[in-house]
Amino acid sequence: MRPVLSIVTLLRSPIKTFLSLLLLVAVSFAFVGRGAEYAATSGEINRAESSNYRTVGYIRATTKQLFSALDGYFGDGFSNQNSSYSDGVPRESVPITPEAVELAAGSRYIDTVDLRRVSGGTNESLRAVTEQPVRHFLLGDISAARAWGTPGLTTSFAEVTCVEKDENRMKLYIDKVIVGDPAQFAEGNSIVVQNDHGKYVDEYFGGAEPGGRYFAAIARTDTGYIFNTYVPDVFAAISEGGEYALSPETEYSVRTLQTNLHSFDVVYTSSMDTMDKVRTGLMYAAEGTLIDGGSSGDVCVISADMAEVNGLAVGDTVELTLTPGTYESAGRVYGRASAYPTGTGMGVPGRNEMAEPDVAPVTKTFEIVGIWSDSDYDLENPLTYSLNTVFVPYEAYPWQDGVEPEYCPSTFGFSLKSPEDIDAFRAEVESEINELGYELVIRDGGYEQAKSSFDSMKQSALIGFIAMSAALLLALLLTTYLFVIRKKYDYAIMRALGTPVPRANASLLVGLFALALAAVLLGTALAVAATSGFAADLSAQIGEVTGGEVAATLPGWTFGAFGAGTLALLLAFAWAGLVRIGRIPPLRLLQGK
Amino acid sequence: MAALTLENVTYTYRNSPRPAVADVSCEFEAGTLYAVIGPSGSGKSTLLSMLAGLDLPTSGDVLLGTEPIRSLDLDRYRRESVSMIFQAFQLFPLLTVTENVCYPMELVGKKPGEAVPRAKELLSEVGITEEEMRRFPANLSGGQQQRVAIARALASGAKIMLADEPTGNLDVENTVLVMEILKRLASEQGYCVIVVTHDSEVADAADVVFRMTDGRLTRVR
Ligand SMILES: Nc1ncnc2c1ncn2[C@@H]1O[C@H](COP(=O)(O)OP(=O)(O)OP(=O)(O)O)[C@@H](O)[C@H]1O
Ligand SMILES: [Mg+2]
Repeated sequence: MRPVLSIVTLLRSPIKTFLSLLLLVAVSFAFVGRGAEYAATSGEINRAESSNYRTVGYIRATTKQLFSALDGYFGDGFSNQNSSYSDGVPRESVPITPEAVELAAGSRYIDTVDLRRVSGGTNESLRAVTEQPVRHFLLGDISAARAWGTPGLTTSFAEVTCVEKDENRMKLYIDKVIVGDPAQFAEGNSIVVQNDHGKYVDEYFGGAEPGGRYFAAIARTDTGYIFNTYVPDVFAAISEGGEYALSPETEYSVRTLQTNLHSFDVVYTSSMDTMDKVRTGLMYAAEGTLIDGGSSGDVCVISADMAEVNGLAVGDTVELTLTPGTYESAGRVYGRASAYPTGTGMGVPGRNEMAEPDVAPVTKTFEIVGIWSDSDYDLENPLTYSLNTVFVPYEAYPWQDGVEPEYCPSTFGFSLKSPEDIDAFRAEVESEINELGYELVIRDGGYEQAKSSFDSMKQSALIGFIAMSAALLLALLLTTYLFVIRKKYDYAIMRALGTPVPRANASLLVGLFALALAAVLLGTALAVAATSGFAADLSAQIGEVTGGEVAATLPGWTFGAFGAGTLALLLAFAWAGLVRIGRIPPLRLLQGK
Repeated sequence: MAALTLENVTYTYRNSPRPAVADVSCEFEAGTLYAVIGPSGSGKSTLLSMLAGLDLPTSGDVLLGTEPIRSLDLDRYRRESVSMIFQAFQLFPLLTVTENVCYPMELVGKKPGEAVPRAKELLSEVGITEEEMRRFPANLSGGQQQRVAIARALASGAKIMLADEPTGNLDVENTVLVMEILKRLASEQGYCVIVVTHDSEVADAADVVFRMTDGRLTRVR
């Protein structure tokens, strides 16, 4: 039968054709819809998993290390019952052996290994970005961070002239800002100060005389200017010769603060990829690249804010005077991969120490190869880096000759390829690491919990899809069975008249194909319409689990693929049925009608 | 040389204990009209099916000329060497009368422009009107369907014509018409025509008559 004719014959039995069409439209609608939903669900979940959940980890000592000073302190028969004496070096600071580092780093589940150091770097001509000093030690305003205890207060030091004074307030003329942000004194050069309770001015600064010149430590709050009463010599008279007498402690503070305004956290890292925020994409290269396994030489990556404040760009160079020795200021920041904060993060020996005095600073010039940005900048978050952090390759660390690198949890971190590998990774290395006296700390960013939600979402989508696939198979089998049965008589005649099997098959398949194509197109169009709200629902569901914005889509190709699959399956079934009857001799076919 | 030869042909249906055609040997010449008579169930239709190549004999051979059809392309044999008028007509129910008659011609590669006029010519020869040609087989009487089946058999142009009760549903007038046609095919166009029939008048018109009994074939005349 000519192709046209076999399609025409469909129209000559309209009711049967319509019923087959209806059945095929119904199942292809359900199957294509469920299929696209399932594909979208699993695709979006995989994407959500891989973008939100990366595994980072580190090694730390199993137990605290007691201060060695306590060794032998107690006599025989006594045990240390006093908790203050039992205090020791927190686990985050206990050194780890290279053996343990190699053990973890050598696993095949490891994606990136990061060796790192943190120290300070200074440059008199660069200005640090002003930010909440709560955890930015190097810029951390000494008075606010150390004595005042109120985060966010930046104390400035200035030479002032007393204009007026009564019991509770004093009007000062700012002659010169010694240290601090001149922008804080924007309202002319006159400010009115009071202490925070408003009534002790006279008590603290009774000696001030209108017309006298003084050195003053002043902080600005939301409500006005106050004396930073916790800084010694907060208000010192300046003698005729322009000299002011500060105690050594205040002088040291002022000097430190002066330095801090030109100081930066320098993070020496073999790869920024183990940093949690980098892995999740919150922290990224706004320009150029980040420090990764391929970075070498004297290159650096600075923050977008630091670049803006100092007018720097990729390709420029930054000269830094580096102070070796590890600062703990950023301990909480790289803590995700190393020393996760316990309580305040205080109590780590050396936290507030500057570089070892006998180690000479080294000056190096770094080329800026990238500008980093943190879309989730929040210094309250322990994973946030100060805007004054300069990332440089690990090799740039100014090692002292003959000094071997010592590892501690804050200098070694790793990331796994996928959070799904956590169990396998633990199985591979954990017991050996435990035997060495260390434990493995792994942060999955909530993957474990998300996984169970995701798994159940995927599962219900899969169940719907499988149910529809089963319905599809049954319907296709039924359709082809009925079709073949219905056409068996035609087939018998064709074969009896000498039509070769392929030609007989083809003339039946053309009709079936036309029918199925119409049905699948219609069913797919209905499925597209019916699933229009699904993407939004899916986005909401995934967003609820990850806590982020998700823009799920049902890609058009999935509809096409499932529609084409339906068509192909139907034709395959029909072909298989025809091949079977094609083997039967025409005599039997004719009799079998 | 015989057009068709049966050599010890036996055919047993599946699930049947006895052969429907039992060890039949016989020759059919071109230019001759044969009649096969015999009681119902004696194996006449089965014999024709063997000759038509609708299945191969369980044992023995059917020869086209000297070639066993077993070694030929059977589809092609059915398409080009033989044509058959089936006892149950076997018309495509969803094709019109004309389309049915065109089918064997299309199969051997004739274009519709050639096939349709030829089909109409053949149909009017067997007394089908223009209006009837546009109908579907189900909308014709048994006798009309039978004549359409005859026209379709004539359409293929094969030189061996096998007819299973071609006049079984026809009135006297049409029986005469059909027999005239078949006779002419044999005598004037050199066809080998084999007709299975119950009708003794039809058998009388044949050059040679065989009788089938219990699957065995004997020559009567
Ligand atoms: N498919 C089959 N399976 C088993 N036996 C069959 C089958 N078809 C036919 N037979 C048997 O084969 C024998 C011959 O049948 P056939 O149709 O050739 O008879 P016939 O001479 O043409 O009869 P009629 O004059 O009634 O058409 C019969 O006994 C019949 O019952
Ligand atoms: Mg019969």
